[in-house]
Amino acid sequence: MMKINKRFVISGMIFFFLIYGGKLFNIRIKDVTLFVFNCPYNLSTAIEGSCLFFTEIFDSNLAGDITTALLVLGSGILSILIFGKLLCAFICPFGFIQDVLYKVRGLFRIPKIDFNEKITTSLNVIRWLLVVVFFVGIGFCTFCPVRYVIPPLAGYQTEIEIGFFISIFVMGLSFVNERFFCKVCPLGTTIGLFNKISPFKLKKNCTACTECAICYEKCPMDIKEIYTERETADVFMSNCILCGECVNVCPEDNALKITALGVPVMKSSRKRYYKKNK
Amino acid sequence: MKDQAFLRRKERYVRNFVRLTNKTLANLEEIRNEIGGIELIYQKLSNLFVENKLITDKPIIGTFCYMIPDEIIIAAGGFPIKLCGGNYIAQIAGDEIAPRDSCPVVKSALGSFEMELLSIYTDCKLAIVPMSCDCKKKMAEKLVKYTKVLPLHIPSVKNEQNFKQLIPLYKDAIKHIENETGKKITESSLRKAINLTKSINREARKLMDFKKKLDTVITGSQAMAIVNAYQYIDREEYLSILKTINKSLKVKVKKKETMKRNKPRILLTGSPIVFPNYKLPYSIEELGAIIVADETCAGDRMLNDPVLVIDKTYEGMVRALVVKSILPCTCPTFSSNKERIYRLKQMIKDYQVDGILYNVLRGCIPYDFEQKAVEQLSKELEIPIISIETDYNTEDTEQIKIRLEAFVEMIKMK
Repeated sequence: MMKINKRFVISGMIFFFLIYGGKLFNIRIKDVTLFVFNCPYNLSTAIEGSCLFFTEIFDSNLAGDITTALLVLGSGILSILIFGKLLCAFICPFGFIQDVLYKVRGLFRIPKIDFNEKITTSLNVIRWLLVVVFFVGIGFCTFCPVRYVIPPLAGYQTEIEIGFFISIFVMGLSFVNERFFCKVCPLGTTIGLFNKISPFKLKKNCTACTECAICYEKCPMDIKEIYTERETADVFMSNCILCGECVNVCPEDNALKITALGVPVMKSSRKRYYKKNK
Repeated sequence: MKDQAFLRRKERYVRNFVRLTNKTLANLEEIRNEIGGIELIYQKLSNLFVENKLITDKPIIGTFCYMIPDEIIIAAGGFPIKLCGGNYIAQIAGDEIAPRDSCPVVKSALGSFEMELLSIYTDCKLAIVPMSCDCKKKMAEKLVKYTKVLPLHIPSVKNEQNFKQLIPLYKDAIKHIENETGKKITESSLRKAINLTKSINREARKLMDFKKKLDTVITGSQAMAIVNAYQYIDREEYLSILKTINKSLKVKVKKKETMKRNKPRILLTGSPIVFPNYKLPYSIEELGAIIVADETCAGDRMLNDPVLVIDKTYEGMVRALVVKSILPCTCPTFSSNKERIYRLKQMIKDYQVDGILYNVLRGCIPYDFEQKAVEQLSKELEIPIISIETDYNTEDTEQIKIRLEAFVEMIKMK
């Protein structure tokens, strides 16, 4: 059976709002962007993603208009400061699409593909390379897989370039590997740079952990530190998407928690474990 | 055919074996703390160890240690039983087979096989021996004389390469089990088995939570017998017994039928304590302390960690079982075992422990090695520790009691 959790429902609602909001309810919030892959090539999106404006910072028509440029880019950065990694978990429409794909795989009982540590390490390198590519402005959009997914979903055609084939490849992999694109996402990595000052954090109590690795098995981003870390409480890695699955599956009391402004909002416990994993 | 001399010897061993088991059972029954349902546990233990009754008509698959998941045996229609021995008489029988310095767990298992002391040993179709400590490794070689043996390689280091090797090994073990039971493991039978142990784990956790409270309703020896009996009772039956016990404990808490509050709370750790070797827990509780936490591998550790199936396919379930059998295991046969120290630290906090009782079975080198680290921890947390090195013999009980008494008194004075 497909497991529907709260995060999936909320991110689904946000997905429909962002993608179809403009068309269905005529909501268009102009000049404000969110730091997620919500492709602006979808001309009727409710709130545009800031991806296009950051990667084509000199090409786009922002260059002439300083106030709009500040508003567009500033709101993107502000969204990082306010939401932090919640952008990845709840708001990013491309993240939601990957979640749907992965859940469909579960329905058809197709075996998933796990990456070994070698691949995970190289994906980590690629991730940082993509950040560089993204910000030097050599046209990330031409090979961005999102451009061939979100605009068509909203009913807009995009011309077929190299990105189309990359998109097929990425979508295929995210079908068998949970949130594959997030493993190399340059936006998520950039948000990760703000983890230290983010209001939302993932923390670990190293004594309570038994290193049973259930969290690691569940983690869509294959973050090993979540169970091997024994020194600091800070296990909020730059590629974490704050999906909270590790907290849901952790069987030890208070071993993992997610805090908002220092106040715990989600805490692992055996009780929670039995409730969430029937 | 076995000759007359053997039968005479066997008869003598069995007589003493039963006498010793009965003594432990009598000690347990004497504990003045009535719990509804616990008599069923004693009844089952007595059926197996005293009357030597046939406890199941399913094929018996014997295992040792923590690392063999019961689920795969249950799913294949077998009856999983831990063959680790706990009886002094069996240990004496094993003395002739195993070297002097090997541990009593192994000696006693070997002795039970040699002297055909119990039906679970004579009827055992297959013994799966994880290559954990040295004694177990060599025991696997000796066991070939009595039954089919499947040695299962367990890496000493928990890392990804080693872990990857393990899954084919466990699948191979599954094939062996299927051959013995004549029934294939299917996805649904494995899921059913996992769900069964999941419910047992949940109930066992409830039992542990009762021990965490300052108002104790159950003594350590009783809890230990309950958890220990898991290995010898049909799992579905065990689940229902455990539920009864938890219910009656809940009633006790409600009625405030609790024990005296000022008893020193002891954490028991170290080498396994297998029924009927309850010398240490029974002695220390007789002296006025109470064992609230149990980190030994035949005790609470056995039922502490849950299995979580993430990928619901057959492969995914096997993987989940291997993850559960290896990664949270705090057996000192793993080369680097810091997990155990952290675990103890957490348990001391959770169970509000006043003192640590460290059991080293003579010949159990891995646990002996880690004693220093635990002593260090006790110094750091300022919690007294006592280490007792002994085997299953009953002669040193009084000497141990003197040491334990001093220890308990010291905690009381603090």
